[in-house]
Amino acid sequence: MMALMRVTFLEGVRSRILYGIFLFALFVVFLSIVFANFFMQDLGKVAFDFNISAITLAGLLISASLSVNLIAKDLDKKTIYFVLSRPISRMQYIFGKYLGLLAVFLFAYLVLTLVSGLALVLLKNLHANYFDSFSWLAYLQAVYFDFIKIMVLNAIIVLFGVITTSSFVNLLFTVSIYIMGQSISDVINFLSLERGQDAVTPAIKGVIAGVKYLVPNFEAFDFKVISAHGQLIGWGDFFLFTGYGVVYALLVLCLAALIFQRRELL
Amino acid sequence: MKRVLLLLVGIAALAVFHAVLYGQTFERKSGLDEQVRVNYVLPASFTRAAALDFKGVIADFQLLQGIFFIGDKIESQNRITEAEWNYLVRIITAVTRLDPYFFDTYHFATGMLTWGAGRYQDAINILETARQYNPDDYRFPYHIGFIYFYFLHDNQKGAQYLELASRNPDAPPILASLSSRLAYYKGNYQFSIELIQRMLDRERSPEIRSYYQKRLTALENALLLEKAVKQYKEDLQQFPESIDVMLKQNYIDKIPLEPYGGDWIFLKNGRVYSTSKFANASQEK
Amino acid sequence: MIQVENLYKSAKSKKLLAKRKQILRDVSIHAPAGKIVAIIGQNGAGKSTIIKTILGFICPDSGTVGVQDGISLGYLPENPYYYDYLTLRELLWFSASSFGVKRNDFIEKARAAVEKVGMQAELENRLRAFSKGMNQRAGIAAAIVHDPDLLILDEPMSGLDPVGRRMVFDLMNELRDRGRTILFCSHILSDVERLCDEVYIMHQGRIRRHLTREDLALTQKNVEIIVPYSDKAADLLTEPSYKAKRFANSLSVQADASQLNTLLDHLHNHNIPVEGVQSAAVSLEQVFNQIVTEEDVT
Repeated sequence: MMALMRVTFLEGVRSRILYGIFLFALFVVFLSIVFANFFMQDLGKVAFDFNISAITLAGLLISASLSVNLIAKDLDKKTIYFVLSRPISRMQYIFGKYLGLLAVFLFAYLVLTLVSGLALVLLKNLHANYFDSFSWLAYLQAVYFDFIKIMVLNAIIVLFGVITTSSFVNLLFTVSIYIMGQSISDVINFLSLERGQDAVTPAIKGVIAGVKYLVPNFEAFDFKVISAHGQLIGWGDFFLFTGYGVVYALLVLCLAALIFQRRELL
Repeated sequence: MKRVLLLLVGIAALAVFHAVLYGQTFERKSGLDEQVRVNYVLPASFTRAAALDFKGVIADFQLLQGIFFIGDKIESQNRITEAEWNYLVRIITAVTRLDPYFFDTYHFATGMLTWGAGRYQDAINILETARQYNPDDYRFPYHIGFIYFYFLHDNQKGAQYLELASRNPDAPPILASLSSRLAYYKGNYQFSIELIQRMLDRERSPEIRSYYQKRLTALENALLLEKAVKQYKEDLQQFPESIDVMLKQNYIDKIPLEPYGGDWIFLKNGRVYSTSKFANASQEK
Repeated sequence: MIQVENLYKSAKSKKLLAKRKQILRDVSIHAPAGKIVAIIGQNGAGKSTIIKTILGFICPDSGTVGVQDGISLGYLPENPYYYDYLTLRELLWFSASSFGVKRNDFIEKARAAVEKVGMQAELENRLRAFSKGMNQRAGIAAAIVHDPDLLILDEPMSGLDPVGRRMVFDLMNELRDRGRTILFCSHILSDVERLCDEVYIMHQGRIRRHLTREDLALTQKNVEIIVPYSDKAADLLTEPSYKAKRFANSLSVQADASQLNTLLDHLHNHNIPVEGVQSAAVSLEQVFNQIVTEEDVT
C-alpha cells in the first residue's frame, strides 16, 4: 500500500496539470497585492480573502483535474491489472490511491501556503496599519480546514471513481455533491425560518432532509470568513470538525472499497 | 521564406486592425450599457449560497462594485438619486450577509452616508448594528464618536463613544486621552487637529482623504491665526479688530488660506472662525 | 500449480435486450509446476478472460480457479502501458517492493531483470519516452524482477522485434530450467510450438484441443521442399499426395517426412534441381486453422 501511495504521489507531483494550477494560484496571489489597494480599511482581511481563495481554488482545480482521473485512468489504460496482480488487495488499492492523493494535496497546500504567506508578509509590511485583525494562526486554521474539506471531497471522488469509469461523469457528480454540501446549511436555515415554512412542499422538505444526511456539510469546514478577522476556534470545536471530516471520509472510502470489491474488471 | 514573410505581414496588419477595434469596444460597450443602467444586486441569501467556498472574496468584489459605482458618481459630479442610494444599501446588505465582520463595508457605508448624503443618524445606526456583531472591535464606537464630534458637534456623546472604544484592549492608548480631552476642550482646534489627523492617517479612500485634508488645512490655519492673536493680545493688551491689522503689524506674513472659501472672523474672546463655518458650499442643502 | 475447472462466463451484450454473450464455456486448464503452458486462439477467443479470471479480476459464472498457495506471481498485462511518469527503476521498485523485496536486494534484482530484457541503458528514463516494444520489455522486467514462482504472460511477444522475441524465448526457457512455471497466451504459433510443454487451443470460448509435448512432436513431421518454378515441375507435383504452392519463381512442396526420400528421387529423375529442404513448422498452424474453419462451418 505504501508503494502504491508513493506511486500515486509521484503521479501528482510529476503532472504538468499541478504546475499549471500552481501558476494560476500564483496569479490570484498576485491579484491580492493589486486588489488590496482598492480597499480602505481591512486590507488584511482582503489580502487574506484573496490568498485563501487562491489555495481553495487550486484545491478544487486539482480535485477536478487530477483526482477525477485517478481511478478512471487506471481502469481505462488497464494499469489496474498491473497493480492488482501484485499482492495488493482492492481495499489497499482504494486506500493507497487515496492516501497518495492526500499526499499530493499536502504538498500542494504546503507550497501554496508558503507562497501566499510570502505575499501576505509583503502586504503586511506595505500596509502595517491595516492588518489589525490579521492573524497567522487564523490563516493556518482556514487552510487546515480547507484541507479537511478536500479530504472529504476526494473521498467522494474516489467513490464515484469506482462507480463510473468516465472521469467526466465523476466530475459532474462530484460538483453536484460539492454544491449541495456547500449550500445545504443555508437551505436548512431558510426552512427553519417562519418565512421558509410555506415556501416548499412537504415532499421537497423530505428530500432535503434526506440530502442533509447523505451529503457532507462542506460549509462546516469553511472557516475562511471568521479566520479572515483573526478569530480562532476552541480545541473542542477543532476536534469536532476535524473528527466529522475524518469519519465522513472514512465512511465514504469504506463504501468505495465495498463496491470495488464486487466490481468486475473486464 | 516567402510564405513566412507573408504571414508576418498578415499578422502585423491584423494586429493594427485589432488595436483599433479593441479601443472602440470599451467606449462603445460602456455607452451601450449606460442606456439601461440596471444596478441590480442579487438577493443576499442567494449570493450567500452561490458563493460556495468563496464568501470572503465575493464580499470583497461586491463591495468593490459599490465603491467603484460611487467613485464614478463623485467623479462625474452627478447627484446620487434615491434609487441609487437604495442600490447602495442593497450592496451593503448583501456584503454584510456574506461577511458580517468586514469593517470596510461599514466604513464605506457610513462614509457615504455622512460625507455624501448627510444622513448622520443612519450612519450611526449602521455602526451600532455592526457593533453588536463585532463587540470586540474598537473601530465602531470610535467612528460613532467621531461622527458625533465632527458632524453633529456633540462633544459629550463623542467623548462617551471614544471612551467606550478606548476600553477595548486592542485600542491604541491615545484614544483614552482623546476621549478625556474631548469633553473639556470644546472647540479647541489643537484637539480637533489631532483627532482628524488620526482619521487621515488611517484613511485610504482618496475622496474622504481630501475631505479630511481640507478640514485639516482649515483647522491648522485657524490655529495659526489664534496663536497670532494670542501673541497680539500679550503684546498690545487687546484683541485685533480684523485680520488686516494683524497683517499690517507683521503678526502674520499673509492671510492664511481658508479652504472652504469663507472669510476669517475674529471674535471678542480671541477665537477665530470663518464665515464658511468650514462647510462646503455645495454640501449645504 | 494452476487448476482451472469448468469455467463459464457470460457478459452483457452491448445491444439492448440481446442475449448475454457467452465468453467462456466449460474451460478447464491445468498448468503443472515447472512447465510452460500456452493458450492460443484468435482475437476474442477468450484467452485474456481466462487469465483475468485466474488473477481474480473477473468472477466466473460457475467453475473454480485454484492457484497454489504461497507462491509469488509475476504478471505481464496485455496492454503494456504503465504509469508513464515513472522511470523504469521506479516501476521495478513499485513491483518488487509490493512483493516485499528489500531495498538492498532490489538493486541486484533490478539489474538482473533489465539485463534479461536488454534495457540496462533505460533504467533511469521515464516510461513516457518508451516505444511499444520498450514498454513490453519494461513490463516483462517488472513481472520477473522479484523472481516469481509462477509467471503469467498475456501476449508476451506482441510489439517485439525479432531480437526481442528471441530474448523472450530464451528467457522463458531459462525460467523453466530453473523450475518456474509459465502460463502464457499468444497467437505466434511457431514460438509456441517450439517452447511449450502443453498447448490449449481455444476457439469461441471453448478449449478445442489440448496438446502435450508428444503431440506437438508428432505434428512436426512435415517437410517442405523448394524447387525453381517450371511448367514441368508444376505438372509433376500436382499429384494429390503433395501440396504444391507457387511463389514468384519457385514452388513450395509440402509432404510427410516419410515421403521425403521418394520425392527427392522423383525430382532427381526428372532433372529438377532442389533449392532447399526444411522441416515445416506450420503444423500447429494447420491444426489451428482446421479448428477455426471447422467451427465456422458449423
